[in-house]
Formats: sequence, C-alpha cells, structure tokens
Amino acid sequence: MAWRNLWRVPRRTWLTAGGVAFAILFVVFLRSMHGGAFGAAVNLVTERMSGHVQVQHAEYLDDPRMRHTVEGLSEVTEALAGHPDVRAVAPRGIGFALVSAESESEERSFGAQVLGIDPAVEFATVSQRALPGGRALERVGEGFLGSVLARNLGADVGDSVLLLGTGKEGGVAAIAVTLVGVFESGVADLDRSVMMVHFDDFAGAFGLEDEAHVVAVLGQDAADARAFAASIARSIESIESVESAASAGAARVLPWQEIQPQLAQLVVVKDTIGFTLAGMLTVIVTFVVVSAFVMTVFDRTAEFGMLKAIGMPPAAILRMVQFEGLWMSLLGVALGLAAALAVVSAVAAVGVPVSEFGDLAGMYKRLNLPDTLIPAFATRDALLIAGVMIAVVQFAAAVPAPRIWRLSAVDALRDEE
Amino acid sequence: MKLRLLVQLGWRNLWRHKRRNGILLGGITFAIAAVVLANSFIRGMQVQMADNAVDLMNGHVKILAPGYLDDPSIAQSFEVAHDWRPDALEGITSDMVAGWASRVRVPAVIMSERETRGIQLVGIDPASENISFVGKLAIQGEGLADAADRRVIVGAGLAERIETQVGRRIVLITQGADGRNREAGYRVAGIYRSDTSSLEKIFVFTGRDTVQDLLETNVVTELSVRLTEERFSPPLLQRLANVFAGLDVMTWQQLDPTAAAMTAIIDVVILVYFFIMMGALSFGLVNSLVTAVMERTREMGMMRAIGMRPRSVLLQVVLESTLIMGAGIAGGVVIGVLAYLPIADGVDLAAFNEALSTFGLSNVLVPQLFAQDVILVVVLSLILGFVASASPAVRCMKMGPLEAMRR
Repeated sequence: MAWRNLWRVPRRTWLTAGGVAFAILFVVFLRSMHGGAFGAAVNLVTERMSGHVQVQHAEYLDDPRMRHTVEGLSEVTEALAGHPDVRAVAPRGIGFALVSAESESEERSFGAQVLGIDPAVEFATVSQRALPGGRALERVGEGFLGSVLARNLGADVGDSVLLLGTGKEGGVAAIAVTLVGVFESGVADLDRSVMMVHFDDFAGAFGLEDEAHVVAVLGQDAADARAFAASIARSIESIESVESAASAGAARVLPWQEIQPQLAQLVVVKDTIGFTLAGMLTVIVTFVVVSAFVMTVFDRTAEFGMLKAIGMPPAAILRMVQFEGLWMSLLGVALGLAAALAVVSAVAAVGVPVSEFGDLAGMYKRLNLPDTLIPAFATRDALLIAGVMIAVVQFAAAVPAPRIWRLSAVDALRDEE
Repeated sequence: MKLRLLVQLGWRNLWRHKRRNGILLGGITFAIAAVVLANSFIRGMQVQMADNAVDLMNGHVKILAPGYLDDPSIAQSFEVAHDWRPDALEGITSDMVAGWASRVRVPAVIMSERETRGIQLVGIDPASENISFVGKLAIQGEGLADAADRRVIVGAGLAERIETQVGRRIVLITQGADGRNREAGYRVAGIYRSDTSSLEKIFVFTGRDTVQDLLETNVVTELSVRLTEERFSPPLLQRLANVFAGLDVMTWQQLDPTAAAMTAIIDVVILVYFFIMMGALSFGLVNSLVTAVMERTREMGMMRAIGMRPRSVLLQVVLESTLIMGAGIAGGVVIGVLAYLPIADGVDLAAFNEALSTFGLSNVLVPQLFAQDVILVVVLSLILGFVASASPAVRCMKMGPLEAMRR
C-alpha cells in the first residue's frame, strides 16, 4: 500500500528521492576522490620512503643526532625478518656532511644529508631511480647523488666524491666514494641536498658499530600500522640490547603516523572537511524531505480522514507513511549509490591526469600525491551516508504525525470541499 | 496585469501554506548561511596562504641572479645601489609599494660548543624587514639593531638543537665566491619563535653588511618588493625586468608554486561547494513549486478564464519562487554574517599545525568575508530560483483555462 501510494504523485517522489540520491552521489564521489588521492599518498610515502613502521632511538625523532642510534642492529633485523607480517627491513644511517667533488672545475663543497643504505634490502624507490648514464648504488665504495647537488658540484658519473662530517664519538668522519649515478626525485630540496652511500661505508666512517639510526620496516598495510608497530615491538623486546635500551627509554617502534605527522594530520583535515560537507548536505536534504512529507500529508488530509473514519487507528496511518518514507529513501539510496558507483568507476577507469594540470602537478609532487588520481570507491562512507539518509527520511516522515492524530474524520472529509 | 498586484498575489500564496513554505525557507536559509560561512573559511585560507607565501621573504616580486635557485650561493649574486627604490621607477608610485628589502642569503654551517648544523644564513637590514615574517617574529632577548649589527638571531628549535642561549657565542662557516671557506664568531642577540616550527631550524639572521664583510663582497643575493595590492604586480614586473636585465625577476607564484596552485584551486572549490549545496536544495524548491502549481490548477484556470494572460501566470510562479528564495537568501546572509562575526578575529587550529604549515598556513585561521563572495552567492541563488521555477511555470502556462477548470 505504501509503495503504491508513492506513485500517486510520481513527480514528487522522484524529486524527493532525487534529492536524497543527489546528496549521496556527491558525498560518495568526493570521498572516493579524496580517499583515492590520500590513500595513494600514504602508500607512496610508507611503501616507498618511510616504511610502515620504524625502529628508532627514543629521542631520534625529536632530535636526530648522530649518537641516537638503535643498538644490536643484527639481532634486531634478524628478529624482524622472522616476523610473519614483515615484507622488508632496511637499516639506514643518517648524517650530515660537507660534500666535495674532484673535478676539473673549481672545487666547492656543499652541505648535504648523507644516507647510508643497504642496496640489497633498501625499498625507498628514490635510491633505485638513476638518471640515464648512471646506475643505482650496488657496492661498497660507491656514491649516489641528487641531481641538483651533482650539478652544483660539477660532478659526473665516475668522479670521486669526498664526504667530511662529524662521527658518532665526535671525531672526523671522512669517506671517498666513486659516483655511480644521479637521482632526480622531482622534489627540489631532496635533489639539492641528499647523497647516498653504502651502509657499510657510512657505519665505518661515522663510527657506528652494529647500529643504525632508523630501521625501516615494511608490513602488509599502512592502515594497520599502529597494531603492526605494537606487534613488532613485542617481537624485538626480548633482544638484550633493545631490552636494556627500552628500560632506559632509548628504543621504540613508531608507526608512520608519528614519523610523518603532517601526512597523518592531512588525512584528519581531509576527513573533517568531508564530514562537514556531508553534515551540511544532510541538513539541507532533511529540510527538503520534511517539506515533501508535510505536503504529502496535507494533500491527503481527506484520504487520512477517510481511513480514520473506516476505523484505521492513527498509529497504523503513521506506520503507512513511515513505510512510504522507507520505500522512498531506499529508492533514493539505490539511485544515489548506483550513480556514484557508475561515476567513480568511470573516473577510475580513466584516472584524472593531475600531472597535466600545470601548477597542480607541482603541489601534488610536494605532497607525495600520485601523478594520476584514481578514486577508490568509499564503501564505508557510502554505507554510512546511505544509513543517515534513511534515518533522515524516517524522521521527516514522522514530522507530520501530530496532524494525523489531531485529524478528525469529519473535518478531514469536509476539508475536501 | 500590474506587477505590484502579482507580487502581492505571490506573497499571499506563499502564506497559504505556512508550514510547508516555512520548512523550505528554513532549508534555503540554512544552505545560504552555511555557504556564506564555509566561504569565509575557505577564503580565509586562501588569503593566508598567499600572505604567508609573500611573507616568507618572497615579497610580491623578487629579483634573483640566474642559477641561484639551483645553487643558492654568493656566486649567484648582484649589486644594488643603496639608495635604490622601486617607486622611483616610471609608473610606480609610492602608494603601490609596501616596502622592499635586499638580503644576502647563503647556506652556512653553525657551530656551538656542542653541535654543528647546516642552516641558511640571511643578512638583513632589520629596518626594511617589515615586509616579511622576519619583522613580525617574537624574539626573546634582543632583535638586530641595523644592517651592520654583528650579532645573530637564531630560531628556538635550532637553539635547542645546538644548545645555545642568548648571549652565547656561535661560529658561522660559509663559502665565499672564490670557493674558500670563511668563518667568524658571533654573539647570539636573540632567539625567535615562529608559527611554523620548521622555519626556526633553517634561518639564522644577522646584519646584511656583516655577511658582506664576512664574504668580502658588496653584493646581495636577493631583492624583494612587497606591494600594497597584488594587482600592481604586472606593471612592476615589467619595469624591473627592464632595469635588472640579465637577472631573474620572479613573482611569489613562481617562487612558491604550491601556494599559488592552492590559491587558484580555492576559487574553484568555492563554486563546487556552492553548487553541491544549492543543487540538493533545488530538489526541494522544485518539489514545493510543482505542488503549489498543481493544487492551484483550478484556480489558475479561473484566472486565465477571467482574462489573466499566460505571461502573467508564468510571471506569478516565478515571482513566488523568487520571493521565497529572496527571503531565504536575506535570512541566510544575515545568519551567516552573524555567525561569522564572533570568529572574525580568527580560529585557533594549533592541533593541525604540521598539516597546515604544509599548505603555508598559520595556526590561527582568520576567516575572510568578502562582499563579492556574498554577492555571488546571492546572484547565483536567485538564478537558481529562476531555473527551478521554469518547469512548473511552463507547465502552468500550457494549461488552457477550460482544461484546467475541468480538473
């Protein structure tokens, strides 16, 4: 009966359901675009740079000093490699040095961040992306430079590069390596100021003994990083050096959210904006639907009066109206979800080529967002907004209830004339 | 039929369904208020992003030696006369220019008794830095007195790292144009705090002449000009390109493309938000108008029969739609502005500090309510009300008087 009633004024039903569908379409579409962009950013940053979690000295994050290291490195990496969810373990040494090149042009030195990496296990993609004419780091005694730094130094592949810094114990740290390749990340700061050497060279020069500044660990999924960090912490806490360090408050396992707080906060900001928009849309749709139901009930005063006159209790009439609301909202939800699914998958099939938008491309690069934006259908948000819309319509259907109760059969029927 | 009469008719018609139209009016009011308020926040972000990018020692226009951005060293530098002023240029008046500053900015190493760090050493004339964030820094201790001041100002974050304090000595090492390293000791005059914590670890300030002495030169690496309004940028750019031929004359948009892209995107975001909100609302508006027309079919027929012209009928429906939209817009704008007033001084968003600084925003977001945005919302909403009334109005006009009355 409720379903049939809906089609007595099809235009109104379509318009009201359309309002619901419209809100669902936009909320789901925007959330899917955002989710696609930020999901990809989180994956890029974690899988190709920081790892999902890192083992660090407790003070390293706030105060990255040469002497704040994770000790007992070989035991730690061994224990981590044995963890069932671990996909990769990469120890990294991080320091600062003056870099100079021996080339025919004038000799100048530049300050640079020196990364000691183990090419056999390193997963940071920038360490593997050599420009033509060179190659990535493979062995001890080799160096890998950012493109702008290489240009500033006037250094070419094959040149000898000298690094001069301060070691862990305060002594002079010096390494001479042969430049084997140049990388270009597209991020100017990185390309201007980063140099990579083999981890063993780094440890030797800066005086690290079975220790590293960061042990980056790749797990299964960025979303589970906090639980993963806790599980990693348990698997290494029995190691003697970690145990003694931990009791002194000097070793800890950090999820990416703490290593990359700005990315984690961006995700929160994005969610806040998304929820604000969805909330405002919900309120507007509520007004739309309530006004539609008030109209419906008003139009059908005579009918309800009649129903009352033949003995239908007001509660039953209200139930009927509520069912009409339910059908209507289900129609709107189905339409909205179908439209959202169609739009999202159509856009996902093509992808939005952000890299062709000029200025936008640079911003995306800096925020580590991918070149092509592929929306990911926001299933959870879709179900949430669908549920909210159904609830809103039920509320709207109940708004005219007092009128139904007050209605006296005689007045209602008279109202028709 | 007279317009006044039609308006009166429309107005009374609206009052025939107080409840229904009241709810619709509430929806319009809410939507307009929400859009006005959301706009002020988004505009606030935009203004702040642009301001901060200009503040970050860029100015609206900056002159650099070619190659400086790749290799920011004293080798990429140029000379500026001490009495040079942008408002002496043809076509540039002094009320277009907020100020200008020349600086020597070079990479350097700072050493305390305990630690060594890589930093950016910036030689400034403190008197001219009212055009950048440098002039607004909160300083513990003393600021620099003049361009010849031989003391340094360091950030709180850096001071903590290298364990130095006001009054202590530090050593700066930097490279001259000849490739030789120069070093000298300086006393810390003050420690500054900045909204953006990363700045504190990067920039160390001292007098411009002091850095020139250290490097045995009289050149500068950059010259920034800040304007009173963005729109004066193109003419200035052109004049400067002529005067400083061979140097790079760049806008802040070129120097900070991320901030420029974000500010450009925001213009679009505002429209998208508006259309989504009003789109949802238009379903209710059309719904209500259609119902109003349908239930008055007989009445309309009667009107036609007694000689009301189809055009007048059409006009009446449009008027009703415009009236309710107009009332909603007026209410929405008033509520939106009232909601904006208590937060006009800014909203503290310190919890998102690091994410905000990625976008060049400070902790306190100051919403900006621009008259042109409000006008845009009003005009677009009125157009929307017009469009929404089109289908019901046409429907009503097509109906012949006899047909209508028979129903």
